[in-house]
Amino acid sequence: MCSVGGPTDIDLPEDRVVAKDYRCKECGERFKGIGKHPMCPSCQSEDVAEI
Amino acid sequence: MNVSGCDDVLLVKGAHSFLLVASVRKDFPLCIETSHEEYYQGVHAGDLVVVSAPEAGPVEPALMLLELVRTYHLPLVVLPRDHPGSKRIPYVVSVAPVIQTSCSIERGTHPEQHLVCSSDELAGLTVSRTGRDITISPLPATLTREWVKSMEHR
Repeated sequence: MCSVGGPTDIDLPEDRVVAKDYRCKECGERFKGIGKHPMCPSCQSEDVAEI
Repeated sequence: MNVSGCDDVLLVKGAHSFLLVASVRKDFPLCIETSHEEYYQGVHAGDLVVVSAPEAGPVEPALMLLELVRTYHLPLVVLPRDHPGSKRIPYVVSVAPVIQTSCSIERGTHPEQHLVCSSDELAGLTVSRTGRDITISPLPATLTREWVKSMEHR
């Protein structure tokens, strides 16, 4: 998590967030994932597909 | 500098601020809530959780915050820029395999860049893990480090 502009300001500029939409191949959950290793929030499977 | 003893939490202290560093024990999806969206980041055993206290303060709440994320997998809540509550947040958190501290993060930074806000004295550090060692590079002589017991071992 990043912080911008001061020691206690927390900011996540959503126009710059590199998030992708994924669907879990195990349970079908759809979610927005960030990072190199997306993980299903429902079943914690990493067997996910970008949609 | 490499430090072994990953069962506990590493405290890196400057004169006016500190960092806590600990390893994640098991995989989990970290939920990040913003005002408009919900994101998930895959977190894996061995990744690092860093709690930064840029203005120092007590260590115990930072330890609690660390465990709320590492052990209990509570979501991170992100405030939008200029939110009035920002000034009341004394600790910030980062979760990633490699984390860099910065006191001057520029607008446009996003989570994949693995940055955590810090004070001037703790800025410019790279925290990573190799095997059971936590590596902090560089570690200026003005900083001290010690292992502290996690909340689970108190």
